Amino acid sequence: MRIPKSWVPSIARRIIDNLLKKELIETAIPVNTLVEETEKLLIDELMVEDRLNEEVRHLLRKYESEIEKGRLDYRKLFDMTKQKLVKERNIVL
Amino acid sequence: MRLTDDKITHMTHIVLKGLMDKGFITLKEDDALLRREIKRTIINELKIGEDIDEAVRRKLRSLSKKLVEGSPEWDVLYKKYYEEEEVKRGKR
Repeated sequence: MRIPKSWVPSIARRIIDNLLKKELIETAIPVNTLVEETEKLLIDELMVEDRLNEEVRHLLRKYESEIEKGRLDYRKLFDMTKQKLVKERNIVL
Repeated sequence: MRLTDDKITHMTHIVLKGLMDKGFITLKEDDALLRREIKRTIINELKIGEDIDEAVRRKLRSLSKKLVEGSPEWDVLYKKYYEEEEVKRGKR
């Protein structure tokens, strides 16, 4: 399932409105601030894969010449490196 | 952004823990119930996204000029129609 990042504010709003409506939580801060905080948490978690991809791209720069010469397959190397980091860090994608 | 079921579950933990750790909320029910509610909300939103994607693809298929998915023209129209559907459904 896909989600556009531009939807995160409205998702955060729906989550909080729903929890408050069903009286599942009590808030210690104004509702709008709570929605903003929820939005930050969601965005941060959604960006985990983007940050990881960037890190892998950065790591692979040192193999640039071998990749250009065709000695290494960039896609394969990218996926392998990414999987290795996911496993090492217990990242959920 | 593609989300797996594991990722959605993980996000519910992150949201709840994040808000609780900072003292922004107190739970009035069991946290498992709250996580289920959050997950349900996220999944409902994702379903709207899927419906929009399907509607946009249908529209693209119905054009008299057949476009190849992934071509620049297809991409431009996909984005345009997607935004139109978002407006129609109050997502923009």
